[in-house]
Amino acid sequence: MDHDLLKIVASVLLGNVPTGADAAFPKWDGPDPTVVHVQAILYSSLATSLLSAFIAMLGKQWLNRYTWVDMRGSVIDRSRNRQRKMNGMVTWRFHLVMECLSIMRQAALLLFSYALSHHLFFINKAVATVVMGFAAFGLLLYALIVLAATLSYDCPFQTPLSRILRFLIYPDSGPDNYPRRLRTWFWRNFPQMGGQQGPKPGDTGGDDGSVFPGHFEVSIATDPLFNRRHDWGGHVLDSICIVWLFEMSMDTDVIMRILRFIPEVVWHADIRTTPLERLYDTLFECFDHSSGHPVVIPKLRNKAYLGAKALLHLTIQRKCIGNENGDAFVPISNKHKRMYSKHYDGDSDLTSTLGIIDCVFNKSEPMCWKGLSFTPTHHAWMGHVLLYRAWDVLGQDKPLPDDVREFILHSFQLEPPPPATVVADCLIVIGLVLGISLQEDHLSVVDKR
Amino acid sequence: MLKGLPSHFPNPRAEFFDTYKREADEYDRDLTKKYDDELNTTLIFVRPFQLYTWSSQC
Repeated sequence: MDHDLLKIVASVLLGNVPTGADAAFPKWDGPDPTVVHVQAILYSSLATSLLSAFIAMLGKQWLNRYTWVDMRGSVIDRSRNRQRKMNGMVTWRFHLVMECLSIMRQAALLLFSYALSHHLFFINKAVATVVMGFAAFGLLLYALIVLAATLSYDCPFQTPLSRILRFLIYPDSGPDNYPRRLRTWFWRNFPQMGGQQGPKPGDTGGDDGSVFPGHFEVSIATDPLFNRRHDWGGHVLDSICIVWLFEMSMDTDVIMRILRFIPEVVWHADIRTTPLERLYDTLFECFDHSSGHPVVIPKLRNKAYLGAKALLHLTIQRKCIGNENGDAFVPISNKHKRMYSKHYDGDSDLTSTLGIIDCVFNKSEPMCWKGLSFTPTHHAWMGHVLLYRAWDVLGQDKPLPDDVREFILHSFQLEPPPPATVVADCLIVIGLVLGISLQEDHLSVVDKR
Repeated sequence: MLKGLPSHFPNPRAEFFDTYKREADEYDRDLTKKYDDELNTTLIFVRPFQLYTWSSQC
């Protein structure tokens, strides 16, 4: 056809006007436009399905990389490494990418159905009607499913598309809650724009991990008491492992191990997520509330003690060095009922821990330390955690709390004397009262002798 | 075995990470199986598509 057309054009240009059969305009001898249209859609359907196959093969590589186990390092290093990869999957929305494959499969199917119906319509209308009927039914069903899943989060027929629509229509409703997170970030970084409360005075707010945020001005210029490098990044990973395991498991043994491990972590300001409420609920479950005043169920004593210890450690550290917004403690303070009781005669470790929890959540009556006899381990831990409390309260220009003062007096009056680590902690608290400054790095050293 | 021998873990950190690793292995096994099934479905789905579309071009 092209050749014939060129001949006509050349003849006209040379002044020889073609006549008769030579002048006949050549006809299109290629495929029908409908066929071209159908082929284009079929090819796009094929391309979509091939692209999804390509991503699926990449996905297999990603999964292989995720499951690849490091053969070197301790269990702790491997676990931390695994948690880092897991965090990466969450941060980079691996799940969303995998769900895109479903969307691509559905799109390919839709294009294929359309092309088939269109093609058959010009061949045989009866056959086309059957195919189009089924395609329309499938499409209608899909639209209804997406609509139902978009309107109701509890609907079991959730699809990737319904999740996207839901996010667009109700942006505040999802678990990620991006708008609220964006607002929080904005007010935290630009408090002057809206008169919102910014960070506390004296916060360095460093995110690079080299400078630890949250120093009070009074403590910045002091020389180090202890030359020790802290693994702050390790504590961040440990905390993420704890939060993940706490969410995943309901097993009592696992919970006990989590509770035992929480006081080993320094919950500093770079740690974003803490299991504070879950921890409180775990402790709350160990109490019998039938008598009006909560009393620890005897067979759950160990769990209650470890839970109380973990809660106290986490709360005091978050208040003290965690730069935690006070809002984080409000839900717990609201539902907290006084836990201290004299029912636990002879169990000074549990009694003192519950008593301090009451003090921290402002539900305290004067605590009687007389007659309490701690195990050495508990005594050492209590001295360590109360030093944080003293440092926090004194840093706010408030007087030393009664519970800390009584603890020091009680410890010094004991016969035989308490462990040397407790004496060191008590002396440092006295030093704080006298105005000797201290840094957070010093606080986190457990044995301050 | 680990439940029966708690004294093997005097260190709470080691004890925790031993439990963590066990739980994480189980979770990862389920997770990779789920995604693997999803990816296999995609690859199985693509095959007849390819065949039909290519045959219709010929």
